[in-house]
Amino acid sequence: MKILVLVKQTFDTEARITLDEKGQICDKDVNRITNPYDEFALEEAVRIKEKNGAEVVAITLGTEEGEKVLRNALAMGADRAIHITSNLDGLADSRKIAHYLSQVIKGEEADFDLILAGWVAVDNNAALVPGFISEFLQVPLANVVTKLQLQDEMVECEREGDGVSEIISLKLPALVTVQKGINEPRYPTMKNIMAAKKKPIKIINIKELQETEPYTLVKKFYLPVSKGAGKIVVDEGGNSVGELMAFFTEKRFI
Amino acid sequence: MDFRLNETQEMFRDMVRNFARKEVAPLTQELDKKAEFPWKNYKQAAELGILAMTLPEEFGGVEADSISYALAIEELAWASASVADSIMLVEALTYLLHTYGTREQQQKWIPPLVNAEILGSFAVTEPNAGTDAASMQTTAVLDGDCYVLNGTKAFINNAPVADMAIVFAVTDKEKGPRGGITAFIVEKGMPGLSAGKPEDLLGQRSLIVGELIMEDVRVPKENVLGKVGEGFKMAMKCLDNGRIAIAALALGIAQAALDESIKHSKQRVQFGQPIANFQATQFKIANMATEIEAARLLIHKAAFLKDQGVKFSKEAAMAKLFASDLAVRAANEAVQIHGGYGYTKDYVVERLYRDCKITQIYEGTNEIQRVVIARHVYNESE
Repeated sequence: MKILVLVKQTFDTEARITLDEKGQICDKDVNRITNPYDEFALEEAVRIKEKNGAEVVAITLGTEEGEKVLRNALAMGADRAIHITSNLDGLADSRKIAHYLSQVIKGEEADFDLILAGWVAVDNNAALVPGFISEFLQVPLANVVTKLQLQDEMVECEREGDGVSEIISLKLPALVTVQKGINEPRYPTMKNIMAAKKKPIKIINIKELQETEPYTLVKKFYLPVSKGAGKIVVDEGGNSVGELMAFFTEKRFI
Repeated sequence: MDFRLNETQEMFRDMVRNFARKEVAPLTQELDKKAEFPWKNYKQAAELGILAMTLPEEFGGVEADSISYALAIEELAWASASVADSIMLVEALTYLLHTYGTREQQQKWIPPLVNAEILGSFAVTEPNAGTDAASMQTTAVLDGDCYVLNGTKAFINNAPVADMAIVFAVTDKEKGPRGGITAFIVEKGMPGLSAGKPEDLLGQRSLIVGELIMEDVRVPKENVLGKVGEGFKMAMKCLDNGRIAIAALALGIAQAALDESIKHSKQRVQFGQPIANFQATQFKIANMATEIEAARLLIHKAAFLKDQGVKFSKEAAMAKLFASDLAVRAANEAVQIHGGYGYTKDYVVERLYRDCKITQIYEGTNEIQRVVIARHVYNESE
């Protein structure tokens, strides 16, 4: 069995986002981590490997520093990794990214049985790449899965809907994106960190791959406007109701 | 010259940091209140290989370098000085066993120690022999196949619960520290061995510290660790290594004090604005941050020298002195920034204020560190 895990390098969730003078997101001096949802996917892949035996391959598309997430994946138990290197200029379009990843998968990794990924990346919150990939590869997709079980040629997935949960079955090969709660990702042990240094990372420059046109373009980034202080109405001898009503009316809340 | 960590050092640090922040920190306050040993975290750390990290592969380690080790201790101490201290003790014991022990001694004791199956003690200090370790009164007299040990060791980490202890005793009073002190592996259950009740500690209250009392304890000759008469040298070597670790532990406390102060000063509003806006606060934060950076550089330099296999005693003493004095200053300022809140057990800084003090005392008091440093400096000037 071969399991591919899509991992993405994201900003540390505690990092403060700032824009440079050109309106682009500043990525200098920002601590980067593995997208936490992708760690759930990795953990799930490694658990399947430990239980049934499997080859686990981690794939990322990103800058050279992105190798850190692959080393982390290898330390968590992946067997090897593929790094599509890119400076990410003009790569904000999820379909375009999915296109590159799919191309590589369709090549030497076409014999996969299962692709796992976090359902969303904590940076741009788009949650689009896995969906596009399932389409490019023509495999069934289950999103936001909280429990996963392999049965013969099928994978059974539990999903939490709004007020009701469902169990769906997909024929392998398939792509499953996972949600928080599916497992507790392990910490890599000292030994596995050392072992990860010896595991292979295949590097593919994005320029070697076939290009495609983006479907979307980012027009502008902007930071959320910080909220001003709220208005406090102090009751001094029963005047507060009138004052509040006047405020609400002025703001057109009522 | 390169101040960056290498990829492995960074990965070790990140792993220990994640572990310390997510698994250790949430339990620390409660364990401190109850003065309970951090068993859960201790066992988890063993599973992650942290207890064995500096040892070779055959003992479950990865031969991590001294910088990695210092980084790990700093991160652990950020979350719990008690956890960091317990782990450092294992490092000291396994270092002695691995460096001086026979094959049998290594195989018998290293695996259970690094797997957190047993606890050990390192027993040098006595009620009347602290800084003046050479005035040790515990004796070991050869009688047939055994050494008979008599004496009392004081302030011994884990003594009340230890399964084994490496005990230093006088085998030749004439020779004193120059060839007259020997290390022994003393095992739980040996007749005549007992422990005092745990001390009621000011800080690092999750440690179990007490006296180890030996009354005619017969220790087989095979339990001599290293060569007869080499004990003092071994203990001093161990303390030299330990100084870098204590410095890293103190640094972890200082960093926690700074982080808590930053967080609190941004939230605490007085005179209509966060106290972080006031220069009185900013100056404290600036001083703490600067001194923390300086301490970290000193520690990494000492660790670097050690890894290069060159002399590092002076630098280790400087790192220990500077980082532990800093930890006390930083914890003090952190409580000040927290005001009345910082004086209550609801706030982490109250514990840091207690946890830091011992770092100026153990592994060689800061007074003796200054003596060591001065000696080096004068020698170099000649």
